[in-house]
Amino acid sequence: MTQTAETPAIAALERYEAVIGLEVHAQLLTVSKMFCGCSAAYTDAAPNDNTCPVCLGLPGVLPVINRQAIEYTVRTALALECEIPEFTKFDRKNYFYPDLPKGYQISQYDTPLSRNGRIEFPVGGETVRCGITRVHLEEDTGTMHHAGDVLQSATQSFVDFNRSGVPLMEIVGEPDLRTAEHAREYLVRLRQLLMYIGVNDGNLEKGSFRCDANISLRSREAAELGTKVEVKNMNSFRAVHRALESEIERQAAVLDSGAVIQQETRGWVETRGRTVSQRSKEYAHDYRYFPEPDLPPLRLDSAFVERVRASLPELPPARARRFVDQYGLNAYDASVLTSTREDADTYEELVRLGVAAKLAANWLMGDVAALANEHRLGLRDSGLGIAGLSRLLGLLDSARINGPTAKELLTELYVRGGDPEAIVLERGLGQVSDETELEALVDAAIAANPVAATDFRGGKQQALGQLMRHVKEATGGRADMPLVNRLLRERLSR
Amino acid sequence: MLARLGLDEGERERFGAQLEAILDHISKLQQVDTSDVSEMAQVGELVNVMRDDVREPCLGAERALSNAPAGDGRHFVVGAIQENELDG
Repeated sequence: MTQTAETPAIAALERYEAVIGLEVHAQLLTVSKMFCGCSAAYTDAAPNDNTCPVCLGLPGVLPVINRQAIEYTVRTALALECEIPEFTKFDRKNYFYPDLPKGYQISQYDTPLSRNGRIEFPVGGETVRCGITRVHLEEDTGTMHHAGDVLQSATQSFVDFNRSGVPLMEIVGEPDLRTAEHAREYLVRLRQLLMYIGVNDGNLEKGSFRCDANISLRSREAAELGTKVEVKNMNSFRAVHRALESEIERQAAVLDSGAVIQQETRGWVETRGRTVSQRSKEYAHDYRYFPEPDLPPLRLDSAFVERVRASLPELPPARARRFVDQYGLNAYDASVLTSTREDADTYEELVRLGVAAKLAANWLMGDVAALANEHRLGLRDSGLGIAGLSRLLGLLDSARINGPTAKELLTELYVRGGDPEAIVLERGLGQVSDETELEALVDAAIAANPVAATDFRGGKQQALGQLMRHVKEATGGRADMPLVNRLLRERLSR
Repeated sequence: MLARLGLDEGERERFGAQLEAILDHISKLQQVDTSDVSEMAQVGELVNVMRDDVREPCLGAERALSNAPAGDGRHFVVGAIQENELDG
């Protein structure tokens, strides 16, 4: 992506190979929680309002699996080309922390909903392929904040269980990534995919899409694997990239000095631009996993799996390939236009309404994208709308208005809307493309700019600009400029 | 929790013998040939018990906190947690 000067991390990668695997936690877009009927919209409610005996972990309650969460997880697994075993069950992962009221998290241990998937994506010119170890389902914890917000000096912590029990999908990637850039692109693609299939809202800042990384370095000469460090607390794509670059640099310096890497968890501290040790992993955690006795296991038959498969939309890579084949777009344009499902749908709707494929692509990626960004308003919801843009581009395509007029009208009508054709008629914005009329203006331009005309005849191509401008101004900017160009050249070559 | 039971010397001997007998009794299970039996996670026969994704009324903070040992009316309040002591 960014071709900047060589960073210390990139220099380190000449001596060491980085081995990076990512774990993503993504909240599912269900209406209710994973095992109870409380609303899953935990940020919309005042603290602890969205709670019930199940998600508060009170004694004697019985969790029941949310069918939609299972379906979303299977949908994700299929989009990542995973296998879906027929049998799956939930397990208890035991640990103690105040945001986990039961003293265990319902998760999946040895029989996840899916395994053995893959995702492919381009980085620079190469295609990176990353295995997906598993996609499984668990529940989110509550949230805590600390008095004074400075952890070390706090004497009390405040717990809110609105998030407790929100369905949380864990996507474990294989350690197939080799650079910080790979890691960032993996996350960009994975997030795009989850949003495309409608299972997650992709909000890193709010934590509905979270990422942890495992990273080790190994010498280019020796084959043995390095000691793995877990990096947490990265809540933007940029943070992931910076944290991994910084960690590659740190580990390389440790190894260069002859010391060994400690197996530990480190947190990314944005303000300091480096990772800091959080806790030692010398004692392997014993989560004492065992099957969740309150939840009967699941048997997902092939009819169910095939029904979910059939509900999958066309995924971004396939859709981009089709855009190249069907609409003759180049690979870059196709990839930009399929980056969100809404953008891709908008493009296809515009083409269906009769706008030429390349014209639609250019306008959507250029002026329309700029306006959408400026007004924080997508074309679909704008005053002009998809149909309005198709009429506007129709006027341009049939040469009734020229490019600059089309741009002005787009800017004017984008938010407030209106019928482009009526405005063109009302204001006389129609393009002047009558040859006889333009020939007269061309003659007048030559007469008024004899030096430029002589220069052009003498071989000075740029001199044509002055003559073009003359005609453009004479028509109030409405002249069909490609036609003016041709007429001027014809006149001057006589 | 078991490890925190305070036992005197006499109790230790008495319960030790009893526990030994229980373990011996249970170890008879190891004589059963289970090579053809697949592992089970549950004793019930139920599978695929699921609910539709429908919102139901919640307790609300007031009721949720009504039996809490400590609260501020909105949150459960616990002693401060030092991040490096515990796992998250």
